[in-house]
Amino acid sequence: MVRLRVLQAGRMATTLGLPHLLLLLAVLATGLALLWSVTKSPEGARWSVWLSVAAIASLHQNRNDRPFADRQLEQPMQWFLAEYMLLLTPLWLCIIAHGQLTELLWMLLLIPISILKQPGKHHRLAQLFKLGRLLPREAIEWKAGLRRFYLPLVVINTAGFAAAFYPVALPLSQVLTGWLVMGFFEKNESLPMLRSFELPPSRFLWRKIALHARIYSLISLPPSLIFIFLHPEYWFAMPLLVLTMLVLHTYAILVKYTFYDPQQASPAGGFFRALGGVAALLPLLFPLILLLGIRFYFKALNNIKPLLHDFD
Amino acid sequence: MILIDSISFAWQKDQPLFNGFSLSLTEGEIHGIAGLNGAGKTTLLNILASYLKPDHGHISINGNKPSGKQIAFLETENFFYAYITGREYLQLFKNKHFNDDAWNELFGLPLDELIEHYSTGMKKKLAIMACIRSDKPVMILDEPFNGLDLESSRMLRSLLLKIRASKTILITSHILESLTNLCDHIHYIEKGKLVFSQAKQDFDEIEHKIFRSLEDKHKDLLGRLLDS
Repeated sequence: MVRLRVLQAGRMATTLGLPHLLLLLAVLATGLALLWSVTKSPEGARWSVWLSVAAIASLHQNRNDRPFADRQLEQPMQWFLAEYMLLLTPLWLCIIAHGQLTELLWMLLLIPISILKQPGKHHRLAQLFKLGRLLPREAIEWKAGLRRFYLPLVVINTAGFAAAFYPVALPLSQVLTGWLVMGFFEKNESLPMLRSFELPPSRFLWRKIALHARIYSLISLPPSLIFIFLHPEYWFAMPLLVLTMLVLHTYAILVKYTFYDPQQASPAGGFFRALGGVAALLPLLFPLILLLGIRFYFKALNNIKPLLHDFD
Repeated sequence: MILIDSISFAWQKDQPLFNGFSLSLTEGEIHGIAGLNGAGKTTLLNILASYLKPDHGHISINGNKPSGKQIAFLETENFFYAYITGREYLQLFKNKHFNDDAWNELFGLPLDELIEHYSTGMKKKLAIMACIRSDKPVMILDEPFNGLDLESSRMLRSLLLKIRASKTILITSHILESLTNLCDHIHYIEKGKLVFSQAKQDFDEIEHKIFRSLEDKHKDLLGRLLDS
């Protein structure tokens, strides 16, 4: 398994190419510097731990190699836990270095909980989830995504609404929901599904973006209105957050079709989508996302043009 | 009529799979593409479905470039979003006149269940139903019988025979019997080359043509392996 991971990392580095690899290293270095500075205070360390737990929970629910690991490994959960702890090395090193031991304990407690199996009724609940039927027939990512992330979405949003009297609650649940929604655009559909839109490349992309913007704006309306009602002094925060998330989601859609290969997952696509996810926390990265988004628009058009050219 | 005119295609620059490959497929008939594993069957279908672009040569369908408007394509492996229902998947393919429930009496799928709960055969049937729903003049079916049980295979065979008059249907299969029972023409390819094309009335010769040399080769190899 260790050998497989090393091979995967090597293949990903090769697929990314040198410029993207340098970009990745620059982003990582900036992130580490920021993490070091944030974890100096107990509040910063606490937020870092909670966000990391949310990110790990999301990563664990999304990863496709779980059935493989379940079959091949005797103790898959221990393996996953070791991987996540390794991934979080910078965080726990920073926390230890700054002497934030309470936060370290929280992290050691929450990470195993975050990767526990979801309740067995999850699939039945997802099946019963009728909201998908209210969505337009073309919103396939939303239909699949809402059912796939049913439980985390319900937990995050219930917690957000329950704690809505705190100014930070609803924006935080909005960010976490936004992250999960970015995951909707992770999988590449088959060629027949792509062609079922019967649209030329540019109209196809715009249809996808507009459809997503409509649905996301609509579901963001109740938390936004409640937030403005409860915290009028920060009225601008939620609209700004929704707008930011819309930009990041549009970027995720463009990443998907830039690296679109029917039924295949692209490591480069995964990296750039993750970069978008990080940008939700690091405003420093936002201009980069905007620039990459413009570049990816044209690259996405070129990539899907041979597949949709005849609908022009 | 589908015309494949001297196409060349290579996965790696110096190893062409197809080199000047030509074939014509008449309308209103079922054409089978047969060949051993790695012969280039799926690659040929992907080129016809304009998913892959030939390096040289031309393909035309009724005088036009091949396009998604004309082709319904069943891929070997059908990727579905696990968390959508069969009905939601079908509804992606526009066709006002197609009654999902009426057609489903033939296919027998739990259309309102999530695709996650479908078996391999059920997924295959759903993909075939989507091809029928999209109602295109050309149907390209890559290994449509894979994963289907006996009853479903027979149903698919009857269905294809019933609709062939208005379509050009192209099928690959590594099981020769499934092609000889269904097709009007069988085209046998080997390492990207068309070895022969045979019409229905001469299907008896196919087995002889394909398997005689293979059987000799296998006997020879097995003899050596088991003796050593």
